[in-house]
Amino acid sequence: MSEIIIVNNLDGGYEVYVGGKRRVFVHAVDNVSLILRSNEVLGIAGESGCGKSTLAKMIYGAIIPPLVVRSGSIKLQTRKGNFVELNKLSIEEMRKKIWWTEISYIPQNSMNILNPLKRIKDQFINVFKYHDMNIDKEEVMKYIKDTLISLSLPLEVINAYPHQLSGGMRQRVVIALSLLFNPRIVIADEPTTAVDVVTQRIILSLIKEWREKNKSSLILISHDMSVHAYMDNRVAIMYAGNIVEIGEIFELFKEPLHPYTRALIESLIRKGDKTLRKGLPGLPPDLTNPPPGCRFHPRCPYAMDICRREVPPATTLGRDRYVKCWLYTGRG
Amino acid sequence: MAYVYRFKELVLKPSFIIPLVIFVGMIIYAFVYPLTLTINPGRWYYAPIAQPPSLKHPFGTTSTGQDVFLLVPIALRNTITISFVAAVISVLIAWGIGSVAALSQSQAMRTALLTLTDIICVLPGLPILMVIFFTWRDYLTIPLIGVIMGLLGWGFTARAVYSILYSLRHRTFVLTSYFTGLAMYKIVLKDFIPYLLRYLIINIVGTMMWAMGNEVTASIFGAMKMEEVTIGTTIHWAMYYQALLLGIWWWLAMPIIFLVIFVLSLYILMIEIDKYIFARARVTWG
Amino acid sequence: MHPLIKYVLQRVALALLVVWVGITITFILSRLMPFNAAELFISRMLAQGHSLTGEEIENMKKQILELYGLDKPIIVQYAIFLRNYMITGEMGPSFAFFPSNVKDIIGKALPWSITLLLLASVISWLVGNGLGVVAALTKHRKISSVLENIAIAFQPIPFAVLALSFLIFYLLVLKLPIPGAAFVSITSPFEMFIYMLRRASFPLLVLVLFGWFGGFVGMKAIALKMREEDFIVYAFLQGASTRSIRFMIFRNSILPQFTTLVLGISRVFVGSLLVEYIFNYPGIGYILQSAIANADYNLMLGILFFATVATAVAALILDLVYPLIDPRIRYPGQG
Repeated sequence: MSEIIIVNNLDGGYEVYVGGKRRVFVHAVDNVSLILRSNEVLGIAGESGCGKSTLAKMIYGAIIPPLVVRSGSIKLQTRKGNFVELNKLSIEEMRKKIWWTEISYIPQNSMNILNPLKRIKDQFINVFKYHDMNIDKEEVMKYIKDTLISLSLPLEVINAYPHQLSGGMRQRVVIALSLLFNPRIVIADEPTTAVDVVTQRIILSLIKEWREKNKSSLILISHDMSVHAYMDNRVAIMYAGNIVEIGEIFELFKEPLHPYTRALIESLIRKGDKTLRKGLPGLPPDLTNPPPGCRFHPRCPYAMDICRREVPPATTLGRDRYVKCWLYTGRG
Repeated sequence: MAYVYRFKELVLKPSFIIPLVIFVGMIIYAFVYPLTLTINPGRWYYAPIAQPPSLKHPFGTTSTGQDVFLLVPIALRNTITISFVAAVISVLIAWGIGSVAALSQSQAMRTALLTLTDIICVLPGLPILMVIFFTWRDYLTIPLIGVIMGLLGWGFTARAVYSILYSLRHRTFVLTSYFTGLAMYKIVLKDFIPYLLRYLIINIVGTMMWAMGNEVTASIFGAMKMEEVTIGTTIHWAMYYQALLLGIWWWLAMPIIFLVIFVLSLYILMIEIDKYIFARARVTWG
Repeated sequence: MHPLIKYVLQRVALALLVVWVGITITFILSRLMPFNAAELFISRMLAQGHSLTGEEIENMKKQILELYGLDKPIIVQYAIFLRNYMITGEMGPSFAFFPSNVKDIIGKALPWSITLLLLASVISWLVGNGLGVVAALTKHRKISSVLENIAIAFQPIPFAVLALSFLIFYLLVLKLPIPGAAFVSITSPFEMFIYMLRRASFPLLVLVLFGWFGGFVGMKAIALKMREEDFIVYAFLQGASTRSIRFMIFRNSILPQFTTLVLGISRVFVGSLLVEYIFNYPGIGYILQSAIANADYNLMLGILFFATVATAVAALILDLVYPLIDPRIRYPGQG
């Protein structure tokens, strides 16, 4: 399993102007390092507003103002085997060489993201056009039909407009669009929010099957730990712009190390458990003015003096497992 | 801390204070100044004929022997009166019909009112007005002209009011109030009125401008009570006496310039007040 | 019933309703006039000293009284009026253009007016919306703010005032003549159309020059909002080029603006009446001026009716075009 995306000390956020004058920096991604291997599912979990969608946007390379990258790098191994630095490419280069062919994207709210004035087939044909692919029209149609069949969508869909389809069908069309060029990496940003659990299951299974068949990699963003439990190989826990813990999914569920991870997992409903779920008191910090030291310390039940002063380093505990917490540095 | 737009800030803003001064000046010129006059400036031949602007006649005189400096305030007063009456009448009708259509539970009522509104919108109001004004010219007074215009000019406003109220009604906070048992009229009082205040101002100013346009257009065609001095009738007589060909440009230009300045100052005032109300409303509602 | 058929029927019904309301208003006005229009007409014809024999006068009197049906109950008068206007088109003689009939005079002017009205409203709408999209999407802040300031400064000023100021500017400052078109012998409908376009060009210029502000302001707001829509962001992430995205924003923003085009017809009509009169364009506005100057009530009532027909027809045409650009009307949805 080779590494196909290497994120190194990535640091960035949003530069927002308040009232047209005062500049505010929302520090949404703070010194993040990650790797993604081929043929694996990496989950990113955390509360809303913790920066996980921003991280996804950066990895996808959609870095347009007000989003800025201040330092660090994102390296991608292309199909040819060489590495390119995504944050050095222009949007134009990203669009032509990377997007949809190397990395593709399944956005949030995927029920309402199809152009209401285009037939489904034109939505597919447009994607071919965007990437300057001059493929024979019949071939394209055959390809679209095959894709629709594999997603168990009726063929009439091809001539329909989005408003004629049900929400679930539209979502499947969006997934079909994202997987059109068999990308090696798919970033799915909360693909199943605002969907009932049955549809959620269908959609996740679709993505899962496709991925296993194509041996592609998936970065799955979700606030829902049960989704991660179902899908992931590894999961990264994000809090206030930091990745606080990464681990193989079973290990992480069996033995959560960071106090925040523990709180997340404890909030899940377990079979047979009748005790009241515990919530985590407090609110996530304001990213325009994050607390000093460990960003979690105001809500942490184990907070010590050093947590308030210094940022905890990453402590590696075996392969694929690290945690950023003073409890595990041996210095506490 | 949220940014608060204070009243003091509004008052000190040049883009508010300058149009305000102009507006007040215009109102004084049009409504107070004529009270000091001893002659009726609408009468013909009390001044020399077709004199260019001079110290004695700052805006010049007309071919019909009227002093433009005395004529313009009367014309402005009458045109403002017509348009204001028209705006009040039409906005009242529009709000009545628009809000009943949006808030009524009966589908038939809504369809009927919306169809009526559509008809009024498509119906060419001005030709109707011109026929009415021309036929009954001997029976008209200045406020009555405004009333008649108001009766025909509410279509667009009603449509806007309908869509604003309709979308408000279906917002979550309103539904919440409704399902917790608050009566519809209480919701209107509590939740809608502050939000709608800004549209009321916009509607009135917009309809005033529409009415001024109609007054001027109808007068140019001669379909108006031609003895009354308004901006439109002044332009009509200037064109009738070939003012442009004879080079008596001030006869045409002065009423136009004053109308434009009045309209612009009113419009900019409206924009600034609207910005203020909007900013305040956002602060109070979080 | 297919929703498209339902839509078309609804629109046609609305147009008919508008025409009916227009004709009813015309009827009410004609009966409420503070004098007897028929007798006034005859007495004025006599006063003008037209060389008519006693027999001819009697004939005309009979004809006019029959036309108005003044001796019959009001309901019957209304029925006669409806029949005359809607079916036979018999609206009596015109005073200003005696001995032509109102029907013929208006019949000649109407195609001119409808052409100008449709061209003016569609072109100024397209110009306004096009500029609105440009202002919303351009990177050059200057272009956008210049356009916006022009629109804000001109939008509140009544069109009549703008048209007159333009006329003053054109005649006194630029000292240019108003282009008309020399009369040419016309042999085919096509040539007629070309001639019409040439005559229409100057009034059209004025109408468009001062008619784009409303569309611009509305479109800019819609396009700015549309830019943030999920499906536009999605298209960007799919790798759509800037050009495709701009087109997509334009195409989608234009739909809500279509209503303003249809409903704005009557306002453009007012402007076109005035411009026709000022620039001697042989449409309804031109004959309306003659009707008023000569106190020709028959002609005025006829114009009133046909003005309603003109705006109703123009609105209907635009309404019927709408389904072509919005598939959601053509195909039933799932809600």
